[in-house]
Amino acid sequence: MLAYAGGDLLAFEMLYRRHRSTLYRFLFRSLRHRADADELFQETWSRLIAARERYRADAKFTTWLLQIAHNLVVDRFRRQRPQASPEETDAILRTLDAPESEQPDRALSEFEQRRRLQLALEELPDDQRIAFLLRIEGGLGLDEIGEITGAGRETVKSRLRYALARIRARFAT
Amino acid sequence: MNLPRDPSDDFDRLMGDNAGDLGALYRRLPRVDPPKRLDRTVLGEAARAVRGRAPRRHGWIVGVGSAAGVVLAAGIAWQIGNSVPHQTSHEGYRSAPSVVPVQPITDSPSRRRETRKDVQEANPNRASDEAPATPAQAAASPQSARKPEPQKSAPSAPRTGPAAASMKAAAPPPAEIAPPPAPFPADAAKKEQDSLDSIQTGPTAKHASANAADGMPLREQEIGQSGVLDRGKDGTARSAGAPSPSGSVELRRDMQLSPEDWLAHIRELARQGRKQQALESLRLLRRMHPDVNIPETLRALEE
Repeated sequence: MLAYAGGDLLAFEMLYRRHRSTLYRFLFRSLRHRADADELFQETWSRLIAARERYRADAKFTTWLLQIAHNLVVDRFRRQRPQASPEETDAILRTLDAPESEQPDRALSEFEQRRRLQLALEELPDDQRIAFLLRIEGGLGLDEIGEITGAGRETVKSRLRYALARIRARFAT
Repeated sequence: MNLPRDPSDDFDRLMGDNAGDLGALYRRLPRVDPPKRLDRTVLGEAARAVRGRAPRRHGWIVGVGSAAGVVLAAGIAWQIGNSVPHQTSHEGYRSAPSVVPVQPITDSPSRRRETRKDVQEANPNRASDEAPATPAQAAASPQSARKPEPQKSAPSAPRTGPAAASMKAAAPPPAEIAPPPAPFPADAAKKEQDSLDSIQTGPTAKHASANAADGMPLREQEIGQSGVLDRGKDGTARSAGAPSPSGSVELRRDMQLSPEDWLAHIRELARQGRKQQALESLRLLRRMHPDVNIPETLRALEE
């Protein structure tokens, strides 16, 4: 990124090729609409290009890129629909957690597992889905996710646990 | 294959390398990649941004070009300045009543010469190049005598040399020759004053002066024109739709702040009730620092 900020276009192309898929999947799975993902994908890179001279090498590039994308995603969520309150989230989790322990193990086909994971991701509340995607798609740690989302470490941990519980519930039904 | 059921175990696996079984399953989801057109758009934008920088490296070219432009403009101005006295004098010549010697067809060449001599004696200025020939002639056209303004003729005063000397000697001072100019008709004077006012102060002031002419007090005029005038905090009237001139200055000042200080400043603006300014500042911050995490309280400003 520093090389690109200095005018090296080839450096940007390498950077772009390396991160384009990660960014796109993060946006697509966060927003669940290809048109929205396309729009924010372009906007993320635009902002990154515009801010190239303010990039500091002390931040990991992936973190910086996903930070920009996350800000845009949150803005989009705010414009599209209201967020579920923490109380609502807890209520849903309680109902999901209860029957889970009673479910028998079932072996699922590969296709079915993928389908369920996809559905589970789509049904996750935004905060949890973003935390989960930042972890699983971006490979970020708790602190980095916290830095991007503006949440504390424990909050991130809790969001990830809730996300896992929901996904497990989806697999158990 | 089933996913592990123990939540803590599940979490540890998620935080481990490759995000455990769930990570493996996630990676087997259908691959989604950005369309090629987006690749082209982004790479094109990146290239344009870098190319936009290139001229900055050769800033000296711009500097030399600007300097050359300034020198050229100064040269043209100097040339024009030199030609102004000539032009003025030519105008004086053109506007002066010209005496054309009328010669009878039957006159002999010797008689023609005599006639020309008479004319030259009667109109010595014509021979020496310009200005009204006689007081009587100058008086015949007061407007033409008024034309060369004192300011315009001033630059020609320091001129030296034979031409200037002859001009001085030949041209009598206009104040002595020209009779007092005929007074403007009252209507024309008023129109001229109005047009001057409109140029100097714009339509609002023109309205005000028109109203003042009608005898309406200024305060009432402003209230009457509430759609046009708006009174600022300092009590000065300004155009309602016009942006505050200090706004861009303040935004530029905000740009110098660190992101944390900037956010604090926006919070302060919002607290003071300057919501519009806070919003503009917030938008600028997001443009300049797209990676900065905006607190929920400030995000709410945009709604």
